[in-house]
Amino acid sequence: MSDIIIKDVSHAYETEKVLADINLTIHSGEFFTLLGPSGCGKTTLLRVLAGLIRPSEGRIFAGDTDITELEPEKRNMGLVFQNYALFPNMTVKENIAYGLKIRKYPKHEIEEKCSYYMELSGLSDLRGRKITELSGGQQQRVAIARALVIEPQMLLLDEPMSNLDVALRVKMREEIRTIQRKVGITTLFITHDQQEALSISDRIAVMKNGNVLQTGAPKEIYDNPNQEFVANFVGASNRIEKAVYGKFGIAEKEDVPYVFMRPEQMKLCRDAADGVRVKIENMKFLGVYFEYEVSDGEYEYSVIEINRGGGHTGWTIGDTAYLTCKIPEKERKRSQEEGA
Amino acid sequence: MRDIIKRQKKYTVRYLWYAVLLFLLTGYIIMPFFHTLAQAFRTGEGYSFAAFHSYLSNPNQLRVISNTVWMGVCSAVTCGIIGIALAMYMTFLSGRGKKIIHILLLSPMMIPGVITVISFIQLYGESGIFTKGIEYLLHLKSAPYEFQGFGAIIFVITYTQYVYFYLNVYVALKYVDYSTIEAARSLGASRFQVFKDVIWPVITPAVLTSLIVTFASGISAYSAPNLIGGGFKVLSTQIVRSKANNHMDVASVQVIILFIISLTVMLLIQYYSRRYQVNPTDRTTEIRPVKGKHGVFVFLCRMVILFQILLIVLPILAIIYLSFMETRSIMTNIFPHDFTLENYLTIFQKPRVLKPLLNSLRMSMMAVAAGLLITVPSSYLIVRYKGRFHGALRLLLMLPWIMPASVVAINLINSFNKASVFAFGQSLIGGFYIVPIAYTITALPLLLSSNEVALIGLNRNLEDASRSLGADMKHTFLRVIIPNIAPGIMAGGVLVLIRTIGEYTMSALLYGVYNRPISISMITNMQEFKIGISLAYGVITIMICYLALALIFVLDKKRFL
Repeated sequence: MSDIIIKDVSHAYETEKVLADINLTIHSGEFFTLLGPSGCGKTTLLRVLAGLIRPSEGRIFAGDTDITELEPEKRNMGLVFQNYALFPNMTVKENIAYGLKIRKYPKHEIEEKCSYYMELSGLSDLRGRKITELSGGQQQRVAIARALVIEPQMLLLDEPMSNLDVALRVKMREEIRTIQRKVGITTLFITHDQQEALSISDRIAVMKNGNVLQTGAPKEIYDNPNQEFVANFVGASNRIEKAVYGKFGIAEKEDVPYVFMRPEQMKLCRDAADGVRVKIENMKFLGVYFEYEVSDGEYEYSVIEINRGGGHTGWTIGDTAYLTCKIPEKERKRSQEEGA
Repeated sequence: MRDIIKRQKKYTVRYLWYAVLLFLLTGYIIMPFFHTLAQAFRTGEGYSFAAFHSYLSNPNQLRVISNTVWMGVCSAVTCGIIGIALAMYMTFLSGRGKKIIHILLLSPMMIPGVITVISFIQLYGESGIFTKGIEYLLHLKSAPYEFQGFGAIIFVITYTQYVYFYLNVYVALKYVDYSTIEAARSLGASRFQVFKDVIWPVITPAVLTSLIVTFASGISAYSAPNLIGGGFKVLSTQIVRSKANNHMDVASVQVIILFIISLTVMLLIQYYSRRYQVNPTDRTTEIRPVKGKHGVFVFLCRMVILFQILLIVLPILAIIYLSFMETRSIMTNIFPHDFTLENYLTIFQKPRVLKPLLNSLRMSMMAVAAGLLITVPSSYLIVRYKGRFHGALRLLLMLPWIMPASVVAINLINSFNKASVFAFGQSLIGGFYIVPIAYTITALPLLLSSNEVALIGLNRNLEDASRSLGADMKHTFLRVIIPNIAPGIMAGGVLVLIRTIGEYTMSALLYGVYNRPISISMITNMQEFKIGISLAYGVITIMICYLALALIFVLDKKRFL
């Protein structure tokens, strides 16, 4: 397998530009995620890779080979659709075997490969079933097995989890990741769910309006978002303007007009010496944590406190508190240990 | 390089196919129409409106035109009232036996019009069982009514054509989200307001489509006005008469007038239907029939529906019963009772008598096969690629929809009564193929739209999935697309078979010694007083239609039940 290189790819539907000068390299064996809101162009990019859309400009390479002009059936990409697109006129086994039959594999080899991938996806008992007799999760497994069995150079997953309920979604993403590691296949995954992206990917590209805004490992993107959209789309964040750096004790190290601070990286204190005076405007209890909306009269901030048992932390709406980014070293360490 | 050559090959196949299609459509739809135009406008020297002028200045002919329009309007209105009422009843009130009642209500569609007219005559005609029965019971000296003229025509058309309204509205009502009805009721709307504000907007497109269809079949109806019209003359009967008298110029003028009437009304209704486009919501709560209410209203509805079913079933029962009677008994007894199998034996024992049945079967099947060959790839290209060229292609294929049967037939006569390039230097008139060709032309719009519906319902991703798994276009089309739209395609094909097997209008204008169809044989046998054989023909045709109907139900349950 080789790296997939997307070079200067742009695409427009009539006059509407949906991809603008995309440059990405997806490394061999990597689990790469395109994350962005609906309409950001991520599905278009996936379809460009699959060969279902020919881009208006730019080239796609698999290693050194230019595959831009290749018809979809010649690309050897395993595609899993949002609604799975299983052939309703065929059984589970026939769906999975379809790609192999087209490649004219001998019968025993088709049988072997199908069995292996059905086993891998936990479908062995369902081989003779009609597609309409399967649950959503089972259909998804068939779609993945059908895409993998042809041993594609890349697996393309187009929001495969969006039709599943929350609990199943978490389970299936673990399964997908396990299978991907086992097979070692380069994978492009598309989602609008930041949790999903953070938990499953090797690297993430955040997209908006046809542009890639930032590319990096999940932690890198979460900790160092390079612009406001990324900071707010991947988790929530507070924007702290340069004018108030001093109040929060942020060193004016670089010439940036503002910095982002995650709600869980901020803290409400009772001691005036510790930070900026704010009023608690609203609070929500969300089980794992409390979420506060506070205001210093000019800016609004969001703060999260972990629920460490014992119910309420003692703040009520209307209270005055002092907001700080300086979480005491002891507490920070403890959180890190808990996190790890 | 090899890929480039392959791609070129792919396009070559497509363009070759476009060429064949354009050849056929030009030769068999467009050119024939222009031949009719030429025929109508040609005078001794050059072209003029002279023929139209002399035709339209004759008050008798004007009468024919107004009769035709009036027949279209009345049949659309009566079909609408009965069809919508039945669909509403079936959706909101029907409980037990719903499926059977539904099938019975659909059944007139499955019986060729000419057979229905004959069975109506056997029941309500001057010497019909029903008429004689009433005479006998009330000790009357003569028939209490005359089953002839305008009223009789409308009666027959209504009971054969209301099905379009019924089926379209019934299907449309399935898209009414029941929760919107509940919402309207909870906001204080009365039953009538719910109908007006919630239900009517959803069924409007279906109503307008049905209006077009019933109006069109009203103005082009031939068997009813021909057999029970009495003195009521309409364009379709006059066209056949002109042709029989070899006045092709007059026939052409009549055809163009009929076409203009048809076109005008369709454009008008199309214009309105564009303003009433409703997009149904995806997730709908199904309508539940109202239960546990036994008011006077519901009781009256039940009575009306019972009467309707009786009206539908009685002619069928009558024709089946009479087909087992000796013709002498049918002619002389009030209630024929001399049982015989002779009528059927004659048909199956004498090749000459069996021939029309085989002819009709063969010609209908040819029309289905040819129609599918033309429309399946076309509908795929139209749905898949869209664009102006495909829009034009679609328009051409739908063109026969606005052409009444007699128009299609006269166009073909005008075009193929001499050697033609499009028939490879042959003249087709009088030969076998002209009738199946005419059937195919009228079948195109129906097949195209049923294929389109099936294709639009098909998940586009299936095609992409197949291709990304390595299948080329041809393989994808044959292995994935065709199998998944097969039920829709077959249902369309079966409908065409049913509608052409007893076809009468075009057959009357185009048949020859080699391809005498069953509808013509039914009429001639009746005129020769071999009523038994005529009725047995009818019963066999009905049986074929019902077998085909059963096939549709099995193939495409979702759409019809």
